[in-house]
Amino acid sequence: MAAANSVILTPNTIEEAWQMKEKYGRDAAFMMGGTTFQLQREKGVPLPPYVIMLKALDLKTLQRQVLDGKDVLSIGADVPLRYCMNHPILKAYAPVLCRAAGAVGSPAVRNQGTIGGNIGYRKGDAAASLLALNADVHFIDEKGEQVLPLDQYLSLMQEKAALLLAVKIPLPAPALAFFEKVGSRETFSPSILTVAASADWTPSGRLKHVRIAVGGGNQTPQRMQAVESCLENQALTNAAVTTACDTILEDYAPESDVFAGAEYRKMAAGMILESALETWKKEEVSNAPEK
Amino acid sequence: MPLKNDGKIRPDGIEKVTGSLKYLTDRRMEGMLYGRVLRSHYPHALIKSIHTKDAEELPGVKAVITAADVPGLNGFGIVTPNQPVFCEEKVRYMGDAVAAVAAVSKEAAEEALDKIIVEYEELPILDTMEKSLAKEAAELHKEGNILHRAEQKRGSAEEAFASCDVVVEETYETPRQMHTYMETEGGVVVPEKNGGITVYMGTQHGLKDRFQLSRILQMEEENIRVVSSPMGGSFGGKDELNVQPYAALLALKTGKPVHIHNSRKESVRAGIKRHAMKIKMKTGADREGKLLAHQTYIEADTGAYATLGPAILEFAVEHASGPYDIENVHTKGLSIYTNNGVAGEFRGFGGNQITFALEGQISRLAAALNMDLHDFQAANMRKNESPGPLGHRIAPTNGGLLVLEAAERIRKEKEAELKEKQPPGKYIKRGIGTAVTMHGGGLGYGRLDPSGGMIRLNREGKIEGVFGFEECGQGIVAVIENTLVQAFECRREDVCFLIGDTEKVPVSGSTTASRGTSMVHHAVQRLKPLFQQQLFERAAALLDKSPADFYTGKGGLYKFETREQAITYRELAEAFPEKTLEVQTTFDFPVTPDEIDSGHFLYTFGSVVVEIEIDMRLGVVRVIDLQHAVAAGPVVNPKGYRGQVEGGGVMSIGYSLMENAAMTNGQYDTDNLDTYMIPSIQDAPAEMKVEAIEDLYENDQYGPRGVGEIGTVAVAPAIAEAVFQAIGTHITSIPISREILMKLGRKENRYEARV
Amino acid sequence: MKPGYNSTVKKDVHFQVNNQQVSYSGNPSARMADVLREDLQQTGTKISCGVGRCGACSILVDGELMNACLLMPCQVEGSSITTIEGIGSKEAMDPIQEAFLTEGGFQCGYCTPGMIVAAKALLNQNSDPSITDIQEALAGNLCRCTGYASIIRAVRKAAEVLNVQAANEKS
Repeated sequence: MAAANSVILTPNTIEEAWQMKEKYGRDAAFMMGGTTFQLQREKGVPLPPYVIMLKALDLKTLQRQVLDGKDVLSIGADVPLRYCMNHPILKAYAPVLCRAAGAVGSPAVRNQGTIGGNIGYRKGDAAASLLALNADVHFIDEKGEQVLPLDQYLSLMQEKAALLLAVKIPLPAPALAFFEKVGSRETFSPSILTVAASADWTPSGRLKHVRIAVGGGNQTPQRMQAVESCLENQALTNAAVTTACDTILEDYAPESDVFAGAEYRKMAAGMILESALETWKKEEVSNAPEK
Repeated sequence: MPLKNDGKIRPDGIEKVTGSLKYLTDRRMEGMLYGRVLRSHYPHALIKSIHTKDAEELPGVKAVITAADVPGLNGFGIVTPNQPVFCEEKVRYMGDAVAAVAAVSKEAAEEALDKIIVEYEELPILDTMEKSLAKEAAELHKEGNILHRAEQKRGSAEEAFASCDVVVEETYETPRQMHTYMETEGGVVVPEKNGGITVYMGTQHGLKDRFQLSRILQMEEENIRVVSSPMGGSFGGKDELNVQPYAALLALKTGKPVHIHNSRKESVRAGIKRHAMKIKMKTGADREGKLLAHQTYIEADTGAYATLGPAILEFAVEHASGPYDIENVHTKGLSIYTNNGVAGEFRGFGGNQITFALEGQISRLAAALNMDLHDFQAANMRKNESPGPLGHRIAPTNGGLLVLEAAERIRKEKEAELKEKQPPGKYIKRGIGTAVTMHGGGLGYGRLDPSGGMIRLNREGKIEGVFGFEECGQGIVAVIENTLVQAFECRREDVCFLIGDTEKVPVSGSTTASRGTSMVHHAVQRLKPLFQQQLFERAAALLDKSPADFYTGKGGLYKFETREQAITYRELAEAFPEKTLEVQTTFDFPVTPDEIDSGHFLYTFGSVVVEIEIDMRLGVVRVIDLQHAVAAGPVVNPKGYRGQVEGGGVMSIGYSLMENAAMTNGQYDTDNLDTYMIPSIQDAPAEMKVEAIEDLYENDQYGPRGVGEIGTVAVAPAIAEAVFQAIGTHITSIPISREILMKLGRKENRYEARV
Repeated sequence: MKPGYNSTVKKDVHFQVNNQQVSYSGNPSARMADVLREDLQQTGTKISCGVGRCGACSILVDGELMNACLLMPCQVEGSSITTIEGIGSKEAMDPIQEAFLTEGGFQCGYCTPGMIVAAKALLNQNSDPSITDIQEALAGNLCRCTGYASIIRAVRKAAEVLNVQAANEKS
């Protein structure tokens, strides 16, 4: 448990960073903002012998770009959460991500903590909203640089090391989006439950491209595909809302921990989904004349 | 009228806002070593062996100590010293100390802990009161698993229930709460040339620490100096010894200053908590709404060791009937040893738990009788000359009725306001709740409760108040300053204070039990004529006048004749450089004349009005407004008064809604502030009002009472009442379960949303 | 060129603390909170939880609020750090410190340096914060004594004073 001094590696290029990781394997870890390192250290998990600090890699770019003919919002992995919370581009195109970023930790933690770190943490609040936004991630691993959908990346990360470079959110962003976090107190709390959802309208007032992601506690956020399919191509009738809420109760299998029981998490997910769908229904009503 | 800013600043304020105040844990000394304590690996186990050799041989390690190194009593505890300094044969909770090390760096000390090998034989863990009470349970102490039994009886509740028209019976549960002072325990102990030590570590009673340390170190008390203020919060949690013995033993062994500052994790693991209690109450009234009978059974999880467990249980027993006149009361309680963390003193001292239960009963009865809660409370509220809750004589007081009326007025105002407010969203329910309480000050009958103080004219010509009280943040230093200024009608710069150093202060008793403010007032009232007389005599001698010619005022003494200043305080001090002008007094905290265990004599009263919103989707309760009315006599320090009550209130919002130092298998579920949640700035109402009812009952000579605790006591029941007002359900345990509220909400929302 | 592993060679970390240049040669993975308190004797920065969940160690790094317990010296290379000692002194207090003093926005004082640093970060960016702005900006700073209402009063008071000062400077 005693803290032997770690060696801090400061690569200047992505390739260099990856080579360092390959060289030291499990003895090395990438560090973005570094907030989780100290949390772990205080819990008795020592720093790895080699800390690969990514500060110099300049993964701080946040921009709208056209990539392989696709219009995307690209957020560098080292962009602090506070920028994600307040950045005008994100506010305009992906406000749910702003809300999710704003739900992480405290102002100081958001100044230091990064979007990449939050995804790497796996239980962070940002991942659920990025799943709902259908985000891809750009990363490097032993096969070289790649782009994969976020959910695939999250499960890949369990198996092996990878260095996240950027998050790519496809545009146009969905017309409907929703994010809500339930913590143990009003703010600055680990997440008991995080629900993010997005969808578009069909011209006839039905939902399409429905994406719903749920996370919280120790669980990595995951898509609720059964719920998505039961809402896909549906008008938001009371019956459709009820079916969706009943489905999430079956589809979502949370764990119990000291903060909340599995039963609570399930029911809360249902209630939040219900209120999300009601918000959308209201939007539909208020937007109706324009359709 | 709500308290307002009086424009005065605390004497310790500038240092605090500039960060220049050196807390005792901030001290660093030449050649200082770092100490660390090895805590038990198991909640309950026999120690088979301890091997320290590897640790001793580590570079940088200067000492490794165990039970064998304790020269005196291997135990501490304010009343019953049954907590080992170091466990020798058996560990009883995860915070038990087994060994300690001193090394040249924190890292080396930490590494040394890892090298100490302790062999244990695990024993079954008694992690609930039920398990401890079971016949087959292992005995945690030689007296068994019951630390203390308390019982009080008046009339015959059992018989009186027969004549009640309505009887309600309920079991309430309250959580283990962590003090969460922001500064964790610690400081430095310095070995002195004379073989003694100086202990720079926070505590609520320096002289008591000195006594306990003397017993452990087998050292004369005169050789131990305890510098114990200021502290970054305590709330009762630092009254008992914590790391002082380890730093002291290590300092003596190494001959070097030893610094220990608990990490938060260690503070959580080893530190005391508020007792979790299970309280069963049965209460009956006649159909006109008169309370006739009240029966209570308390089980308190006191954890592994005694500390103040018995006194806390007795306080809860005493306050079981609260401010209400009830003829037939029967209260029993058990304080039960378990392998959970040690429970001990915490702001409110058993009153918070019992008041949650009692006010719950009152609300249930009012509902059952179809009576307005306030009318029911008022009908049963103690009269001015009513006996205390144990049937004993107390200082007559009308505080109960006054705070109740204030709460009712505030509640009505708030109800009117709510009507003006936008209706809440679909999933939101609103409620206003009130609760009232009565809280004893001082230690109570049968306990030594001496106090006292000293006033001197110091060399700089300042009127110095010298007390054995401690500054934990509550503002005793401002109380001393204000009391002196008021007594001598002088300027702020004419006075100063000296506290928190056993070498320099007289016996004042502990800084606990809401007694500080009250005792400073009493001491100054006693000392004022004596001190003035000496000042006047000196001035008379110097100026060739009669002592009767003078009075004290701004900057010095004045002549009655001319209303002009005759001599400054400084001149008076300088005129007699050899002879300090000093007066001292000792007395006891006022106590009931009736021989009754723990019976208090001076009580404060508080009422709380809360407005809440419940998000019925999630069962989340938000406190929108929190207002207090407090009857505790004249306000000595308005900012301190308001701060204590507002802060206490928010601490109890935490107690009501989120705080629970829960344990599984004898281990804390939440080991740091990432998981143990206390209210953040967004969990507290942004604006709060505190109404101070300053008038004392006719002929009351006892002056201002302390308000350190009263603001915490009645918040949980007021929130519970607001929940009842919002959704018609009485909750029985805190922190309020979101799951229970949500289940109620789910049904309701389904109905609203889908029919 | 081969990958630059020579960056592992131990070298000093340079940064500024309260406008003083610091050359730090200790453990690059130490906690900045310890570096400030132990190596630089700036004990106004407090440690309470050690995991960035209380704000007692709040400092400004290049003007941004951060927790010194979550930072390592290697992360502040070239940065300018402001601690409570750099915000004001006994002789020359910042208006925020004065407002905490006169509004009674502290009791035990242990969270106070961090709280004032967080308030400074807020008022640097928002000269007229609403109550909600204050509650958001101070969300990472726990206080166990005050119940926060007096802290909100203090920050509002500080904003008023600062705005009056700014207006006076203009006119």
